[in-house]
Amino acid sequence: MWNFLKGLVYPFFAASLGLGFFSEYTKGGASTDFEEVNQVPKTVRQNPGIYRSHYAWFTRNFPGGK
Amino acid sequence: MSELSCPNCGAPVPIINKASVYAVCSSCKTLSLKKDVNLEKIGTAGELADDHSIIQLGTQGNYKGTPFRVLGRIQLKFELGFWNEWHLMEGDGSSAWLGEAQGSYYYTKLNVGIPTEKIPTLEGDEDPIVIASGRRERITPGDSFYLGENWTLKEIMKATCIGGEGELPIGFQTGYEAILLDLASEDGMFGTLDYSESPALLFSGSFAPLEELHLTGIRQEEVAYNQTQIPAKSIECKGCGASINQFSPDFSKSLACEYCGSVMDTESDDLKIIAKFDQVSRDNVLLPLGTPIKLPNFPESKVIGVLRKSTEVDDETYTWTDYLLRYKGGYAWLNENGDNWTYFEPLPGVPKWAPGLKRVFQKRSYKWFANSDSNTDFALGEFYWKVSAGEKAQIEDFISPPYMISSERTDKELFWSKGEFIPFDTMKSAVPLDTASKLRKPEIVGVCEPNPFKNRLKRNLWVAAALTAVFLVFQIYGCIKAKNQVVYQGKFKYVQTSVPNTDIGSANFRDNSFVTDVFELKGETTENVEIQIEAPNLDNKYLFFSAVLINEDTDTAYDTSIETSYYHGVDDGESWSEGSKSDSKSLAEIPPGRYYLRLESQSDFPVGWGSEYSVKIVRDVMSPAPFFLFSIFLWLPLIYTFFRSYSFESKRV
Repeated sequence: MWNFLKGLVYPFFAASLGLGFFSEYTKGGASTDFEEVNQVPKTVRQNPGIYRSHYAWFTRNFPGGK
Repeated sequence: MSELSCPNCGAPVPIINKASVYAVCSSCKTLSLKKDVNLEKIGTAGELADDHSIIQLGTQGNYKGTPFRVLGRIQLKFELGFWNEWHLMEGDGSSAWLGEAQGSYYYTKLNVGIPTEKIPTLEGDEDPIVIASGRRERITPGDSFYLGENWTLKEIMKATCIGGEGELPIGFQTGYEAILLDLASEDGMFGTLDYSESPALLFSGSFAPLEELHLTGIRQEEVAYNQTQIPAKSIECKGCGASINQFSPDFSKSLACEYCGSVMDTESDDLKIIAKFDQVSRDNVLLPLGTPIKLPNFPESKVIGVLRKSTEVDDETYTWTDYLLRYKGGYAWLNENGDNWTYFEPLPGVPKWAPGLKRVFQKRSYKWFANSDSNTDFALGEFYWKVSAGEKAQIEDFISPPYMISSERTDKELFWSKGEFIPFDTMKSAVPLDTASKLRKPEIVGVCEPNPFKNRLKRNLWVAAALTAVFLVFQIYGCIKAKNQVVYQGKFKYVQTSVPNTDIGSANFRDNSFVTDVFELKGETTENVEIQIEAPNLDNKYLFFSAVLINEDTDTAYDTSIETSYYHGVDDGESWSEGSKSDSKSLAEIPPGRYYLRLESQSDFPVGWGSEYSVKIVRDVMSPAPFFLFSIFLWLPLIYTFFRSYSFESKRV
């Protein structure tokens, strides 16, 4: 019984990889490490500095322009 | 059928087959030669030994669609005991022979197709020299002959005629000795070269399992293979006087006392001692004599004999135990080696050689495993041959787990058997509880123990290969289907405006963020967007971008970061490089709409210095990364399983 269950480990592993592959495949293999932010200030077009990214060891803030 | 009178006593002697030339009177055992309508006395047949055969004159059968009737027999005696050659008349009146020895049956016919000059001649009785095709050589079991068929010599035996009964196509003389060579072909055929005549007669045919003979009219219905066996009897040891059981009097030819090691010939009433083992030990005899064995898929049997054997390899002695099992209609062996159990049955024929040091039997290929010598250290119980102390043999094993085939070769015989590995739990449940409690769980890998990792590896290889193929097909399809639409391209120059490592947002920080022109993303919501940045002149520097794709209409931003960094140099005379002058990031499921890109950059350039770079935005891209990434993960565990499998194989003993 235990051997039988051990024998199922790889098929489950392969199945999970298969699901992962299809999940990624449907997104074109796109990495998804981006953050979606809603209602950014409309003035970013005129004043790009108003929007700060959360990347590079500091958090996002909206300082209100240059 | 004609009925003639015995020339000695006048009793009626029925002759059923017109081809029969000799007849034995059932009343006075006179052997007569048929001459026209009379019988002429030529001798007297000896008294037949009671060998408990289930066959008798008049027994009928059907082998492979050919009906036959038993008309007569010649009984012979050889080193291992008695055997019978039953003379059969087939449905069309032709003669055949049914050899019966140690519970095995061989259906043969005289082979008249071999030119007499091709049949090897024999010189000498002991260690005979065969003269074949002008060559003189001493023969040993395992040697090959070509006589219309490739034959392998299985056994050399000297037989003594005991007597006969019924009607026969050939004559015999009681006490007459003849050399017989038993042969087997790779196709499973059986043959005997009988040197009682010159040139020798070749009888060829096949091994015939008892159930395939469909016998009727057998002797003593109660001893038939599907009926009750002859009950055990008690014997007093001639060596020490102990009372010992003979479990299978109809089968065994010798009995080894479990107390003093004396071996008695049970074929003679006086039970004379024929051998003696110096040492007798019941230590580690895990299955005592008389233990019933009920293994699934094998006939119910009983342990009637125990042999302890050993071999020396590199000054180390390895021992194992063979248990002789007797069941109704045959016998088998249970081999115990390092607490691993293997069930062995006699193998008819000689397995074929195949390339790569392999043997093939019944379409299964067996890999060579080991050669060794074996010495019989001691014996307990009863055996179908006359056991002698210090019997030596050469053993060759071929494995195909859970099966193995094994040959045991002595000066006189080549014996093949087929084994099947018995798992410990199966073995435990096959014996009575008190015996099972003494069995030990094996700590080493058995010779033909199935390798769980090998089977798992094979199965996992299939799973991985199939899934990789599916991944590849989808990947290729995805690449073909992807639009790869460039929606924006721009060239920019980064110039360091703040001292490196200045806190962003601090008083000394000079913001360098900017936005691109607006571009349109078409297509479906499920399609992705790839932002590609390339800085071809980057040299021992990095450029880090906080990139935000912002939808002009909905004010939704998709935040990510991209870094290009390229460093190189020479250390200790070795040149090195790391990083890349380009990078890209894919953003999944970006809805269609009008977008612009906000970029904010950082670098380790000194103030006033910088580098050119280009930005490209592509809609609906298929990345090869998932295929490679998932395929690698898929195959990684197989490396581990392969090593586990290899490790298991190296532990086989």
